[in-house]
Amino acid sequence: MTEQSIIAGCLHNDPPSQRELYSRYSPKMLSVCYRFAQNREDAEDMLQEGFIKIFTQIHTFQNKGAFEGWIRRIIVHTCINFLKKYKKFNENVDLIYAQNQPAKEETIPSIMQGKQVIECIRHLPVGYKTVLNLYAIEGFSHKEIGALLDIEESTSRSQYTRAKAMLETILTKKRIIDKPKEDFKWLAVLNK
Amino acid sequence: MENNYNTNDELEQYLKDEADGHKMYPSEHVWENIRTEIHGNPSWHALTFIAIAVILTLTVSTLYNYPPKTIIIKTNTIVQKLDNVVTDAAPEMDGSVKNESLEQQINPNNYTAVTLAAINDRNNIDAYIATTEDLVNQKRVAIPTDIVEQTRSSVNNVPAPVSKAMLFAEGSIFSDEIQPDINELSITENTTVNLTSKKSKYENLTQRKLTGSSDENIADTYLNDFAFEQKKHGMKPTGIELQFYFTPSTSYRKLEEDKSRLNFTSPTALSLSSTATANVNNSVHHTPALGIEVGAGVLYNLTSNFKVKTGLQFNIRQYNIDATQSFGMATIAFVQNNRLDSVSIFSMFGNTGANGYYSTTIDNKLYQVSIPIGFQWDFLQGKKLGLSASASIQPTFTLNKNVYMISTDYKYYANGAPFIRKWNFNSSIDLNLTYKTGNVKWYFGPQVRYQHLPTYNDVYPIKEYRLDYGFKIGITTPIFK
Repeated sequence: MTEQSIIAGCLHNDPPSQRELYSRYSPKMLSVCYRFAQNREDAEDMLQEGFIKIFTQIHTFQNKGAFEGWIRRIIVHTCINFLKKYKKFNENVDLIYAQNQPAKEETIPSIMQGKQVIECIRHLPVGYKTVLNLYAIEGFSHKEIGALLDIEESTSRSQYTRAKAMLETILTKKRIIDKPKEDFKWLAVLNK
Repeated sequence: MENNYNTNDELEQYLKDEADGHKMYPSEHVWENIRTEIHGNPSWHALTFIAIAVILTLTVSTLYNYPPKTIIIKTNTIVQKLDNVVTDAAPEMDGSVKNESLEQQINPNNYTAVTLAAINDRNNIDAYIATTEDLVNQKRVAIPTDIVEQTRSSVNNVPAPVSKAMLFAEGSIFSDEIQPDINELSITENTTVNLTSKKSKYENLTQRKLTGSSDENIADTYLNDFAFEQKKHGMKPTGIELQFYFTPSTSYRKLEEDKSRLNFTSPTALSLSSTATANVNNSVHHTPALGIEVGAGVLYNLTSNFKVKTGLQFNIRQYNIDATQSFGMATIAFVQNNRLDSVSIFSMFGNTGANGYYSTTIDNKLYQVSIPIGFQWDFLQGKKLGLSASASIQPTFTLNKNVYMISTDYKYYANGAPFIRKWNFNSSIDLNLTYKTGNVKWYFGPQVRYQHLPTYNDVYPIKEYRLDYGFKIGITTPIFK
């Protein structure tokens, strides 16, 4: 099925088309949710809420951009709302508090490196990882992040800087990246 | 992995690449939830169709059969019988009319007194039909006196094996309730069906008599009918009940050590002295664990509230042993044939006091089948609620050998299979709150079960007795015949 035929089917509330759309995008979207969530169960709940929104709001998609981008944006907003709704975000979004919290690097499982990076991000304090996810991976601007999280734009910037530094430390300790060289703030060369 | 970022932007690109390449596959229930949320629960259309069909069938059949046609049908039968009376009577006068209708048989040239009498009879019958229908509409049925008399005479002629007393027994169609004057019977709303049934038997007897059936046949037929009548009143409780139950329970154990070995001079290097004065119960760390009993039984009512019972029961009894992961030889010393002996078993588990690599928990579990034999006393019975107590002894067979026993020096836990006692005896008592719903009685209540013989045979010096505290949930339902 082409993407257009899937969209057309979903517009007619056609179950096979919806299943096809879900099968095609759910693995990537669950990964997105997983980076925001505390655990896999929360991630699956976020994914579920997100896809329900996608199927019920698909008529608002105007073919102006990539369909996957539209889906991803809905999923990300769902994740943020989920964290707010269940107070998993608000309770921990105190970034000043969060910056003093050590990352739980000792709990990061040493598995495949690709997943290790994800796990390193996940084990950052919730405020840090949220800003990092939104800015570095999802491409939101600090202004958008501020509006989304109800924080100042400058706060978003500063928290991102701290999150990045903490992540760098963790990645270095886990030997996923080398220590940055002095003349470059971020320089790491592995597997020389 | 190649990491080739040199600037801040490259870190972000690196993270983005790693994140974009990462996929996770959701559980199937996520899609099920989404589908249910969007489309609702899947419906089985066949079920809807069947339900509608059943409802329609019941509705139509109810409407079609209301008011009940039984009386009308039987009334027509009576008329049919009366026709037979006439047509049976005709051959005595003219054999040619036997199988033809009365109107066809009436030939003006053959008018005789008998024919006129037959016509008069027919007129009487017509009048009777009208009267009968009226009476039926008024829920009253008239039965001609001559038929009653014929029936009485046929009954009087019943051969010896069938006594008159039997025929007029209670429940018989000739019982006193209809015997005194059968000419006119009142039919009430509640007795319509029974009366119709009795009337039908009565008519059958009459017909058989009129059609020349022998008295013996009548008696046999009546006996069959009578037997059938008894079956119709069936669904009598047999006094036997079926019981199904399960009892989640917590298993405790008590250890008693036989230290007769200390009377012997040790021929081996057993370190017996260290445990000479120690109490085994203080040297081990056991915690209760959840077990269950599931069973089915048969109860026989000796009186209205006292029943004996037996059945088959499956038991899981277990407790946890705090131990350490360690390796060594567990030595069991025992006295047999008046001499001290010992057996050594390789062990992977040490007692908590012994040196071990790390702590662990051993599941000491028994699977057993038992045959409870006992009684149940329903000492308080209300309309719905009641109280009952029961007790049983249970010959028990142990199925598995997943048990661990402590060594003589209390340092190791060894596989207890060589010493397990296959047959044991348990007893059980329980007190139940009962609740009756229809023919099913529910039981809820605490239960205590005690194992009388040690888990291991008499050779093993440490005697273990098990005690279960449980909560029984069960149902009983009577068997009908």
